[in-house]
Amino acid sequence: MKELAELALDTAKSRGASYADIRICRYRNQYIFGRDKRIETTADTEDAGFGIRAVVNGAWGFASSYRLEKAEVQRIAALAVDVARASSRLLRQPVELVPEPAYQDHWQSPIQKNPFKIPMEKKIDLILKINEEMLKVDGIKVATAYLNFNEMWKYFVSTEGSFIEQDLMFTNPNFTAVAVGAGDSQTRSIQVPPEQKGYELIESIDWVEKARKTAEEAVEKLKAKEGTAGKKDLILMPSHLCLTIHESIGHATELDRALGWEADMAGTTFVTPDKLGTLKYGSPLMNIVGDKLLSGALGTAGYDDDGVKSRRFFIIKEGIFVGYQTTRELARFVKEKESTGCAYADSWSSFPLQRMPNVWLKPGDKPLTLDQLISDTEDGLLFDGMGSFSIDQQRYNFQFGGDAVWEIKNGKVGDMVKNVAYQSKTTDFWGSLDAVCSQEHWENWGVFGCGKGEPMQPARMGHGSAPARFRRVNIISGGGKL
Amino acid sequence: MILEEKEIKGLLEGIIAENPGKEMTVGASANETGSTRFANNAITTNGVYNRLDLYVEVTKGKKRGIAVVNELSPEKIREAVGRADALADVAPENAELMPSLGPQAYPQVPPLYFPGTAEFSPGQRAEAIISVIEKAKKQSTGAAGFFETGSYSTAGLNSKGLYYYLKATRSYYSNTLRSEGGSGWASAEEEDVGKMATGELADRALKKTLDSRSPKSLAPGKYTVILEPAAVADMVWFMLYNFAAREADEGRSFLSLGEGKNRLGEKLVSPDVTIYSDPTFPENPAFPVGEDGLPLKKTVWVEKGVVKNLIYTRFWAEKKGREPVPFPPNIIMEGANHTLEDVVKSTKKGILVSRFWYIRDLNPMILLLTGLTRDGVFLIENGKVSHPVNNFRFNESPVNVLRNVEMMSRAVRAVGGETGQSAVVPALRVKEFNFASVSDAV
Repeated sequence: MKELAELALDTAKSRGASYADIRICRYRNQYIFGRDKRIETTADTEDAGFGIRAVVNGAWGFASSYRLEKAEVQRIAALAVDVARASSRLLRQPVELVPEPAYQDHWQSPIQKNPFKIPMEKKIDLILKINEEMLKVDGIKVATAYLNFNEMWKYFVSTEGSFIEQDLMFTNPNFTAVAVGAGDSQTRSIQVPPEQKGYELIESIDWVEKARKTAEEAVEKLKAKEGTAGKKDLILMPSHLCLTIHESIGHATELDRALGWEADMAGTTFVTPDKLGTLKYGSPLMNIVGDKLLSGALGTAGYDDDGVKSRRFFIIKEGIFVGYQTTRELARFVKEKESTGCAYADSWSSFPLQRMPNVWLKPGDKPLTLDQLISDTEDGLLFDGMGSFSIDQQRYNFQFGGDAVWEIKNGKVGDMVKNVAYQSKTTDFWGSLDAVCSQEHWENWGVFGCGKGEPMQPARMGHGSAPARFRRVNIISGGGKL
Repeated sequence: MILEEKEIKGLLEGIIAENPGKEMTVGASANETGSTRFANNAITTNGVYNRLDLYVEVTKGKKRGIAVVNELSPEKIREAVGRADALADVAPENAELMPSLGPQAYPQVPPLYFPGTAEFSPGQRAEAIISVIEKAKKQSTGAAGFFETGSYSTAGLNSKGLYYYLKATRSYYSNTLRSEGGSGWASAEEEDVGKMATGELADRALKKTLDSRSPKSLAPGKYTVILEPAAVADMVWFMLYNFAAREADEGRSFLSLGEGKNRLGEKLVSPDVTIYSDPTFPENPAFPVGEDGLPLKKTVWVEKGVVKNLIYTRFWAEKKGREPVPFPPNIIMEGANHTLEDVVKSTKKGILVSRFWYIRDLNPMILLLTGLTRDGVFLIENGKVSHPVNNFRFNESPVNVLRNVEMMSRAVRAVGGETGQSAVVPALRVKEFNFASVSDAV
């Protein structure tokens, strides 16, 4: 493999590339889907190939292929150089990569049990058992489930002397109960986050107990009253806050968006470079970390796809925006001397983009339990899990629903309500943050399929938090008749 | 590079022949795509992508296993067959698994493969982009966009003799031109890149970005809107995403009527609305192959406001005693003999919406969607565009949109800004469209 990688880079250099790198990757994916005590899909997918980036006359070129053979490696390297040369005709600013040491290293996800070595029968049994448990609950008409395991092997070699091998593993379980009755249908999913872990994640959960409770909550949701519009205090659980952080902070603080590079599809951002260090993003309780080091989180790795060693950095400190997510190419546009290590490509066949690392909210400094937070709330709603989500192309106006929502009245959790969402403006919303629970309530959640770029590339990233409260947020009702 | 029929058919027949007596479906697809991105009036990335997938499905009675690999060596193919076989062994019986189909007859579709598109080079893409950027610079605007051209082939064969091979090209171009306080967008999809009018698409986006500068504030509320075809494409696709009969029969959809009944045959929307799909439609041809290799035929979904078909999987169709109806390959909505300008001229007061963005379900039981306007929103007063206004978030159902249609333009092929899917649809004037809040985004 090393020989082929060196051949690629030698070919690119000899044809005029000032910089080149190759990523040779092999991915394996196992997916088992069940519904109503039947297994509908058992699939095992493998995908391997390589992609070569080259800089010629200050412009990028990229080419990729699934045929990992000597002649093909040379052809693709030459093609990447040709493509770069075509691009260099329309160059505004030549590509300049901020310095990064060369590394010779091997990194792997800290897993305990390789899911691909666990017998398929065991996984099937688990799905069937959870289906069965959910369907025992009166009112549940459909139970769906999947287990998804991803293994990712990546070998990065650059003309600067890096040779980096990485093995990553992801486990993503999903179990949903569907209640149907009285002209309505509502769903509720077991709230267990996907993580960069092995089968130990699956074995650490009492699934049967969770299946029963989740199914009962689906029926409770079906029978719940419609939520009403108005202003409420919100307590957002980590399982829910995950997506709000992702959309309103994670994407908003991507430097490629801020520079207009994603203007055609994903959009730009209100967090423009002139606001770096001054924008009051939210309340002083708001401390947001960008992080590729957090163990078990979906965005963690040893190195990014620029070959940058993973690191941790502040994005928002005490409510003030202090740092963008960057790559080696982007960092200089905000006068940074080094990258924050946020280059990522979803495949060997994709050009790496600036992608979100794990972006998480630090827990509160002062001891605060969830019970204390609830008992201190007079008139609110508690959101658990992810529901409907939508945000504008500059990340101002958003609207989020939940997987389950309960009323809070006079310091107590009351009835469940359905068909509600909250709508706000990013800085108003984060400005209304007035409490974050302490460390013991912090949970590591994440997003498994975030799309960005043209062509669209999916990526995974973690978004941990402790439960947090936001004051007087606008609630909308999504109920009604057709 | 793509696989030609002789090569791909021989490959698939070889796999079936090497596994006599086994119930199998095998498929292969390959593509070669090139794409160029640009932003701030310069190319940002440019690449060439080659991909291949070999799909192996082994069925044992009511049990099935699936394996996919992307190498074609005999060892790797055997490994894939072995994996699918082992998965079929451990899979429990699935009562809903349908037997493989035998040979099928597929409709002849208009040409989908154009050599000029397959051979379109990075240099040719750069030429087109240079022209766009020159236009943008002349007006002190910034162009960003994406130009993709490529070819792909796909084939399937099963042990009962079902076989198909398809070869196609596709080009897709999108550009967003941004000015101080304004933004404009246009995109198109063509099988033949020779028909891709990048200059015209740049002109459209340029006009929008210049016209949308300095928008005036307008409060949210219910308004008469004129939805341009890109916005209509998203609305209609979202409705058809939710047209599954099973979900309707199970009481889980806006098409449910309770007690296992659905709205098939019911008048759902305005009698002016007729929507169908047809892979042979010349302006938007499509692959004529659906679920399990079923042929895709012309299917009328809504005729004069009445629901005429729902999506029936093979299993659900058998259970309900009906013919299966696969998911649509395209959408054609009939329009009227007017231009978009005619629709604007006949509107006393309304809001012109260029496109939508970030659409998601809010309540599937009434197909309530949320999303936002983007890249040009304009107030129309007395038949004329008066001035640009702010963007909005909407909370609205496509069913209401199609119920409240007042006027249509001629149908044209457009790409949904959110779905990214083509549809041949008219612009629509719709009353009482619900804008729920204002967005400061430009």
